[in-house]
Amino acid sequence: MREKLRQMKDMVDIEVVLDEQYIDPKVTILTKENTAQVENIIAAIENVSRSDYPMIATDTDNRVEFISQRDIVRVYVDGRRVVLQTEDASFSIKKPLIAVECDLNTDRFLRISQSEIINLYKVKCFDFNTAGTIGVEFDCGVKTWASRSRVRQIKELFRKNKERGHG
Amino acid sequence: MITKEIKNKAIIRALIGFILGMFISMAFCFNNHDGFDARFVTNLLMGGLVGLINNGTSVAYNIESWGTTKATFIHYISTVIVFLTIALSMDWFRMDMTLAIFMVIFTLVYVIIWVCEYMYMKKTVKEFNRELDELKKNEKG
Repeated sequence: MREKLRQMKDMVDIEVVLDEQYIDPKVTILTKENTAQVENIIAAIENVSRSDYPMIATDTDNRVEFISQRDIVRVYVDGRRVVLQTEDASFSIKKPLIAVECDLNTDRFLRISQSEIINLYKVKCFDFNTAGTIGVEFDCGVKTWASRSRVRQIKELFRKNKERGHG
Repeated sequence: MITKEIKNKAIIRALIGFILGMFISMAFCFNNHDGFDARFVTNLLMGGLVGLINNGTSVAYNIESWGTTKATFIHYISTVIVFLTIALSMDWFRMDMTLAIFMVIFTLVYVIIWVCEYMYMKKTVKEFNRELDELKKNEKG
């Protein structure tokens, strides 16, 4: 159901439409030409978006790179390192896993064991084998396992997302 | 990975198991002894030892990297070995039909628990995949 919430007339015409299909807000800018004002509006929206879900700073080979949370597949502990994995690459993070967990969007990310946090939206499927472990396969083909003690938290995240999806 | 938390849990559960084991042993032995003789005390301590191992090794189910099958097997084997060793040496059981029936029932209990856990987890994972499909269908942008 689409519902036009409000329309504001000032320098910029702003229209907010409530549509339950859009779990994350989608911004469409309608303009005659791409001006500096349009660029400023885009920058302002991106700044607000980043402050809600900050980019994660990684430090690999003394090179700092900021990764968008949408691109993160999982963050896990590998020996003494904390590794952030996207679909294409892996990066090192200097913070402990518990500190990274505080920065991550709790609607998308979930801790599945003592040493791993996953992006639920990057998961292809779960499976359970005769060995009794819960397997997690990601869209990019990477596989890991979830602790049985985290089943309740997984259910809770699904329930939370279901409620958000239905307004 | 066996963490410090798991080790502490094992110690606490072992102590609780030891006390519970002694109480259960006391209940079985009380009518068969004349006062607190050496055999009564030995039975008590051996009962406590069985409880200690049985309850202490239950932390196998808390080790994240161990699946249900491994945890169940480790717990079963450790309990069976300790129990049989003590039961036979203390003359609680003899190598006869009674012991065989007891072991069959004992094993069956573990199998039933494993099967129930397996079926529950299988159903839960199926639900997860259904929810995941719905989540991805609704995701936009």
